[in-house]
Amino acid sequence: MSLKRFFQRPARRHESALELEDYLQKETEQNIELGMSPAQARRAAHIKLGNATNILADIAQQDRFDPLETLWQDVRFGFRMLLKHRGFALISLLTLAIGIGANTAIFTVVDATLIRPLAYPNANRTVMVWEHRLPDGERQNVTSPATFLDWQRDNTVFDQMAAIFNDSSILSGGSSPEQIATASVSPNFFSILGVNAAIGRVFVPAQDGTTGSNRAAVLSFEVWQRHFASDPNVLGTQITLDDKPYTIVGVMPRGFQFFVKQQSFSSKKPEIWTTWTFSPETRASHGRFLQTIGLLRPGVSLAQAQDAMLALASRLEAQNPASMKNWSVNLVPLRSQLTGDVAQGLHLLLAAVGMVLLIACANVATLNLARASTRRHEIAIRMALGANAKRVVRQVLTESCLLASIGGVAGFCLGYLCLTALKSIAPANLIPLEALRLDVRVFGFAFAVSLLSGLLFGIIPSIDAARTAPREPLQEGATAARTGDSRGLARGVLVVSEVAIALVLLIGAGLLIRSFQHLVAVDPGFRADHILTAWIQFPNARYQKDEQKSQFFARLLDEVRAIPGVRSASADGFLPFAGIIAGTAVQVEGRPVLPVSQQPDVNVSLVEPDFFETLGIPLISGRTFNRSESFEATGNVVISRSMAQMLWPGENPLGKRVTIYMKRNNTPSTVIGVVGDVKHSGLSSAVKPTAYWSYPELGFQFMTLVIRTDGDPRSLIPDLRQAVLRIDKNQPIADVVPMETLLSLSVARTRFATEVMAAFACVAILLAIIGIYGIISYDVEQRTREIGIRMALGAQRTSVIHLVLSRGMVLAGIGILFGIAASLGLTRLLASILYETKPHDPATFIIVSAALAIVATCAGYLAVRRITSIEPMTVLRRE
Amino acid sequence: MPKRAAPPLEADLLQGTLDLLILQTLLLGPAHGHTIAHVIEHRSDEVLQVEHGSLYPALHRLQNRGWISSAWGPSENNRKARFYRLTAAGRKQLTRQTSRWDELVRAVNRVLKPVRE
Repeated sequence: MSLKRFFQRPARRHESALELEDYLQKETEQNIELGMSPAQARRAAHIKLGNATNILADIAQQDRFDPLETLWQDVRFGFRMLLKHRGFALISLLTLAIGIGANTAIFTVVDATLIRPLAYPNANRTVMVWEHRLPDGERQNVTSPATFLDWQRDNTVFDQMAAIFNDSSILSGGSSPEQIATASVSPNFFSILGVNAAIGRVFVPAQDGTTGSNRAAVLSFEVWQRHFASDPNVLGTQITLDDKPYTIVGVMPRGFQFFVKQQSFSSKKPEIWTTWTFSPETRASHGRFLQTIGLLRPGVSLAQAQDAMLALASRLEAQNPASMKNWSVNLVPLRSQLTGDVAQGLHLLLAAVGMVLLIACANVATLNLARASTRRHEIAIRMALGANAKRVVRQVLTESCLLASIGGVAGFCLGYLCLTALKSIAPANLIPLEALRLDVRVFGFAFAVSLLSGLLFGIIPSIDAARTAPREPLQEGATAARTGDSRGLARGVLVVSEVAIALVLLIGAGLLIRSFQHLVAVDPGFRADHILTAWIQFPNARYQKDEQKSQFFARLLDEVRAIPGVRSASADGFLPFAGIIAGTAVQVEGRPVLPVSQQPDVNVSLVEPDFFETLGIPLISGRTFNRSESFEATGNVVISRSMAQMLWPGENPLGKRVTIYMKRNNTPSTVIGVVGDVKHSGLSSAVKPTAYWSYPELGFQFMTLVIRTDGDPRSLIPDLRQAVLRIDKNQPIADVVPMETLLSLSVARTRFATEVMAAFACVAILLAIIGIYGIISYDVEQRTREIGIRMALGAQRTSVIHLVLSRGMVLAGIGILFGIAASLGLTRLLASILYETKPHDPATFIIVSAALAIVATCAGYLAVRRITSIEPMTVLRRE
Repeated sequence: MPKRAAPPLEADLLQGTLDLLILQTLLLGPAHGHTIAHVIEHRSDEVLQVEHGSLYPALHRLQNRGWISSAWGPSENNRKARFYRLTAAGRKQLTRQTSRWDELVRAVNRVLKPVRE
């Protein structure tokens, strides 16, 4: 009740004033009626009423709410103090804004990625089911139709399971054909996730699940907008995907997407979903290419499900050792699948940004302590006048929180800027950029962080202030106030921890930078400069015969080679750095035949002539494919150096024969050449033995053009498109990118984490410099008198400088030692993301520590420079 | 011309009784501050010379306690004035305080009478 009155005070005061005025008027009128002159009447009325100011004050007194009143006083006083000490306030606010801003930005990312619930109602019960390839430890391998059907039939832990195949198709029928990412999914896919269509319906197993039923398609909201102009009557429309007709049955809600990149055939988010149905021949296939999701039965835990599936896997292995030996099963909750690799990096950034905030708080606390001793006089007077310790602590804490709140607001704004910067440098697919927004939750976070830091950096100075004995500073006089021992200790501890935390951050960033240097120095096995790549996929219905496809490519490559500025052109089935590659077992001719699961494994790709020359993969021995081999399957194979070493160690592989199990009728291929190894799936990936066939051997529906140019590869794009359309006006090309872009995209995530860490480290070192500078210059100020006396007694300036500087340096040194110790413990956490860099890399430790020591010395020196301007006589005269 | 002075002796003496008087006055019907002041003064045959200003904090206090309520309405000469009205709680309070007052008066009288006789 009284709180309500408290907040209505201005209105109530106004009413009371009106009321008194009303009284005065009535009384005056009455008095006039009694025969007084108007002036007299008014005066008499005033006398009758009494002192209006006192009356109003009396009334207002009843509406007071003491705690708030005090708070308000403290806040106003705090404001005045901040305005009075503008330098202090500005540096503190800047420091806090940086700390809170960086935290706000990172929290926004963490919130969007890790905290907010996934957009699938059943997300908590949905798991990805992978095969686990035991020999090389790939824990997330796609599965085969046969295994999927076994799982689906025999498992005891899932309500439902669905298979997913991310594909790429040509959507034709519009003005120009479009290459579009699609996904073939089991009809129960959407009901496992628990999502429904915004328009129409999702797939229904009974309706869409049978072979031969009408082909149904579900559109993403974005495709509906882009391709169908948001037509509300789109349901029932026929679309053509890869020359086959589909009927649109539904449109998903805006923003719905489902894409698991792990071993996905297509590397793009699917925009159209079609139903996956198993034809009789695929049902028995053991070729692995399907992703699997399952909906756990209610009450079944992940561990139980994992155990049950492991048991099922060993039963399946017993039934079919040829295909299932060396394969196990691995369950991954959907959330960790979708955020897993990002989560680690984000936790790292969160830890780093938290350290930045700690440094910022330590800094402000140091400044506060320094200022507190100049305020001792004021506080002593307060206490002498009867303020109790509690009141003083509250006053100082209020000031800290006030400072922190203003810093928080500034930080929130800065966080917005940071986020914009973060969005511009963050690689696509790393974080859900569209989900990043500063909302109430983020504001709440920033506010909480501000208050917390206010308490954090305010607590030491406030206790310190409350311990002030009133008599002492008053007797000493204002100028001679000196630091007490405890205060010096507190500041020492703060500076030491500040330096230590900064060093941890610096070493972390240093390690990441070194790791990144190692990573980009890796030779991918080819020359990526001046290469343009483009994806071409045929619709299944046209180009069914192998000759048609071979001829298309031969003609296209001729056309491309004729474009001015093209040095050479070729094509590859699975381009390095662009995604997956096919893999299979091999059997060397003349050696004992092993079961499939024990045969060595190699990658397989298809290439057009000139591929190795175009990409700059060195030929080691033998020859590569010639032009005539682009029309005819000759059974020749070019192998990588590692494949040669794996199959024929110490022998000449040329002319040897090996069966590569990928065709219907597997006949041995003859090795005609050995080429250099290529890092296919990223700079940090291991080299895998690889076999290259010429294109007609398998006649894929898709190839990636590889074109070496004289100048900028991008300038070639229009000519390339025209060359394709000249040959087939219905044939789109997609993903036209320079090879260098693919290369830099592959390290984008690492680069991003490194950049952000480096930025934090820079902020940390900046804050540490401010801290060291601040504490030493404060020292100098406090000891001016002592220094003056020393110099008057004959001390050399240099030795005095040395004296003051050494204190700061000792603190920095202790900080560095603590920092090294902490880093030795903490950098181990980085081990998994460092590439060919030891977490205890001595070079990094030494260089970074030395750099911090030098920087600290410089900051200290700048601070003690003013000693040279101290005039002993002036100082002594002041006494 | 406001003067810095405490309320007159009478009001000081009768601290707390002012509340009672106000409640009693409002028993007759709603009234504004000016009227209440004059009614109290008049009905006590001008004995209780309440400084009218001290009435307002009392009205404020009674209202905060919920014994009276107030509303702005037109007064006789069509200006806006604040009218006070007795609430149900105020009515109860009045009865309670009146009887306590009577007790007090009786007690004081019993003490005083022998001296006068």
